[in-house]
Amino acid sequence: MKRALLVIAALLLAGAGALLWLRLRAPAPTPLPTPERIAALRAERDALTVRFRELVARNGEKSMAQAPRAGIMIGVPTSFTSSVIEQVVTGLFGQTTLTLRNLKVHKEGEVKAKMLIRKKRIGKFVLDVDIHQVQGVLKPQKPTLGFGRNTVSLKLPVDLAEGTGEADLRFQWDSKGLAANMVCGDVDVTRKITGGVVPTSYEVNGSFLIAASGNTVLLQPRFPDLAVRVFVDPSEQAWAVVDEVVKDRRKGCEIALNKVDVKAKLASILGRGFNVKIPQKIFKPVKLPAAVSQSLEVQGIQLALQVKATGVVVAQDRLWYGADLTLETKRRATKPR
Amino acid sequence: MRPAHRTALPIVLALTLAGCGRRESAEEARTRAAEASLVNQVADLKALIARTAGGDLVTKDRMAIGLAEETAKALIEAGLPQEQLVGGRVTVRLEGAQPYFRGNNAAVLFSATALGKTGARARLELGGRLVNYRIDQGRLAASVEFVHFKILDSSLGDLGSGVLEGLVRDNLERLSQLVPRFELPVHIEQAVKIGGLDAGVVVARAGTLPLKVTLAEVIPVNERLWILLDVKAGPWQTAAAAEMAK
Repeated sequence: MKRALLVIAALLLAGAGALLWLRLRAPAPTPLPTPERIAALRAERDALTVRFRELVARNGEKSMAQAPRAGIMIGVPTSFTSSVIEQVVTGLFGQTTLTLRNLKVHKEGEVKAKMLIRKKRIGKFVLDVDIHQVQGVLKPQKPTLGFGRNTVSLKLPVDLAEGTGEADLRFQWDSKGLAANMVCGDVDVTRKITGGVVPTSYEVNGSFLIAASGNTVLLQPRFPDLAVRVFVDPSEQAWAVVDEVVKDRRKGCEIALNKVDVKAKLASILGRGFNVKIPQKIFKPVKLPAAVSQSLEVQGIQLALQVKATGVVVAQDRLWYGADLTLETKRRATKPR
Repeated sequence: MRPAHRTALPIVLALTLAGCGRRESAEEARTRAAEASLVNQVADLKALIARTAGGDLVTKDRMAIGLAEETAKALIEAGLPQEQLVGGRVTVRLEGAQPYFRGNNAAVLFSATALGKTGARARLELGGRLVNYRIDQGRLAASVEFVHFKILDSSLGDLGSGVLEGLVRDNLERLSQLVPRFELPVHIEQAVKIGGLDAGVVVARAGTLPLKVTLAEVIPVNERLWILLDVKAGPWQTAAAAEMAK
């Protein structure tokens, strides 16, 4: 028994000796860093952070210091905002049509001619143009943008072009007097004519107000209505139809009708144009594409986030938006049915 | 002295000397971790400065999203506590988190408790870093990867703490899965949609401006996690064309 105890004791002693030997052989733990060492490292880190910030500013990042401090900060480059506005505005205007329907224009008058000694009324004409439809397409040019304190101004040249239309032209001639009646008689012809739109250029001037709207930045349009005047331009076919109406008459009648100068009358009544108002509501508010989320799902829990905007700053290089978040009561997320 | 005592005394002394090396205190461990972290930050900042000076790092014309440490803390802690049984014996419970976005390092320090089946308890600190940043369905997300841990104090004694250390070390990757997915509370739209107008004479067709957003840089500095995104807009599509493109 005593012998067994001695063996166990010897074994324990040997084990302890081995452990002690290993511990002594192990490299001594590195000395604990002193508070001065930690402070020096912090100072170096902070100085490098400042250096980094300066370098970034030198490379074009100008407005970081003006950005509204908040839990979440979003900086949208003005170059990107310009690109969005440009494309939205030109895209929208490029897909805009002006369609005038059922327009009626009317012109009537008397024609006098010298008959032997004095001028005599030889007839009365009535010219009616019933425009079923004329359509113009807007062609926007490259806009000019300017970033202000809290606005983006926009100047957009727009051409009204590529119009098409069709109308019924009715020409009535009522000869007056025996001679005129014998030579010409009465005329009442209706012909289909086609036409286009006289290209005209306009300039849209307005701005987008930049403001925080809940969880994002909204560009709110501020534009007046745009008054456009659509001038119908009869086609070659239309002029040919007018020529036909006159040339289809007998020679004497043709001379009388030439006095009416239907072409000039037609050009005159269509040349006054038609007013169209492009309403300001064609411009829609534009939401910038980065928004602070109003809820998050964490491990199956739906978390409502209360977003409080701390400000919007329009700087030379960026549009900054800041918001603080408050987490609201958790509720179990439900899967949509 | 009795002979039995004469035999036992050197054994006890030897065991004490061999096995009772002092464990580092929580404070000492923290100081060491702080030094290691600061050394990393200094090195990473130097690399970042070199990249910036060399023109490799561009911030201009990129969308910048900055998240403050305190906001990140609230978001991560919203998903806590989380717990997991490791090695069939110890339940590790993550209870708190403190993110540090400094010196081009995005670190998160988790406080946790390990609870044995016998009722023994230990306080742990698990150090993680944010990795695998991505844009997932318009949301910015990242994962947490644990890189080290420390037992701060324990009722287990040195031997028990050693066993716990081994258990946690072996299950560090599994424990990473306890951390809720880290999601920045920012939603990035895939397109700007604009409605049309039908005002009789004037008709404007609705359209969509598609956006291409890609993650460009992650820069954790100055107590803020900065994410830079490359964003490209266009070309404009009519609503019908956009629908067909889907």
